Amino acid sequence: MGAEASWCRRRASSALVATFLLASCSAYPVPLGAPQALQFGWLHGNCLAVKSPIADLPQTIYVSRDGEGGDLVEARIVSAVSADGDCQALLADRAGPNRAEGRVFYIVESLQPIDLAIAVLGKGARESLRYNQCFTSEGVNFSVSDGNRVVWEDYYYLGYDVEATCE
Amino acid sequence: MFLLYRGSASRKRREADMATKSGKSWVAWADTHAKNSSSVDDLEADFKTKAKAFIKALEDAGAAVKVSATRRSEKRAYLFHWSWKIALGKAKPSDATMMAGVDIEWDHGDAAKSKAAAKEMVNGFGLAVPPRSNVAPSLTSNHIAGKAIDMTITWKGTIKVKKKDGKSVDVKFVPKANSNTVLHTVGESYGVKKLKSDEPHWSHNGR
Repeated sequence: MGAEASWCRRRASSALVATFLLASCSAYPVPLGAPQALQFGWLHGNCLAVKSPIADLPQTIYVSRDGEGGDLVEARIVSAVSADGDCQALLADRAGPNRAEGRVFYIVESLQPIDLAIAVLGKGARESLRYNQCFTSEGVNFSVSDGNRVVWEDYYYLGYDVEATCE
Repeated sequence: MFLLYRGSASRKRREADMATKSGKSWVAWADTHAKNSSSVDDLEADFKTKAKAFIKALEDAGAAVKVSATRRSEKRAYLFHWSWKIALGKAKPSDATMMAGVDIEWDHGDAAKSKAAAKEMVNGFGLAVPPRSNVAPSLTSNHIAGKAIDMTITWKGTIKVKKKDGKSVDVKFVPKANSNTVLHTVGESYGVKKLKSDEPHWSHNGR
């Protein structure tokens, strides 16, 4: 890999093709904009659930409300949830399963109302992804796809019985 | 006949006067008087025996079992269902059936006020609403019948769990219970069947 990178740098010294060659060399990290640079979570109302703690607050995120990539709206994570009552996902009937798998919860501010939605954190080609959500018998399945590949999925336990819509 | 009609109408009016109008106070009422249970003892008798035996086998093998829901309150489900329908304009207050022990008046005498009061309940109960949720919370289910249990089962590595016939099975931990088919077969031997779409959900018939 080192020799390949060195060869790439030598060839890239020729001015006009430099950008193209640098981007082509496998020794360089995944370019900004790849789905790998993104993280995801789900929201019910203004409460965000993610599986890793978020260090830098406030932080801008993008929210897909209608399941299609074209409807990403900007929102902001402002603080960690301090009381379960601030978060619909942490109501008494549903807190246990939703806290499982290490999920952590944050308060989000948004100019537009949010019901159930997927949050996109980080920088990357979020518009090209497909955002899906469907109901199971007592919860919601959220997923994000890049073409035919599922890049993220998670489950929200509602704690009451609904009609399933997932296929 | 006229007297009979008048008598009936005034009785209905008296009953409506005694009932408590819908609104957010019903959320607090439900949290006290119509709570869901997470106790295995509240399950229907036959399924309780099966669920207890399965849980014992898991715990004997070293798994930790955290039960989050067993029997769900029929009254709570009633309040969820009708508040959702009225708040979203999918039913009129007069469409709501009555339920013994839930003395609620859905009709505020004004359509907008009735909807607003129902919406307070939808918000308080944290119910999912359109555009994503287009079907009202259910009035019936295995949980309401006491024939379903939601539980999170965790352990480290591989454990030996006894099936109902006494044979031990090696069960490896995977984070998603929905995909742990070996665990499903163990549960099934006790008559506790996995619903593969919902992580914590097991029931008498797998639904």
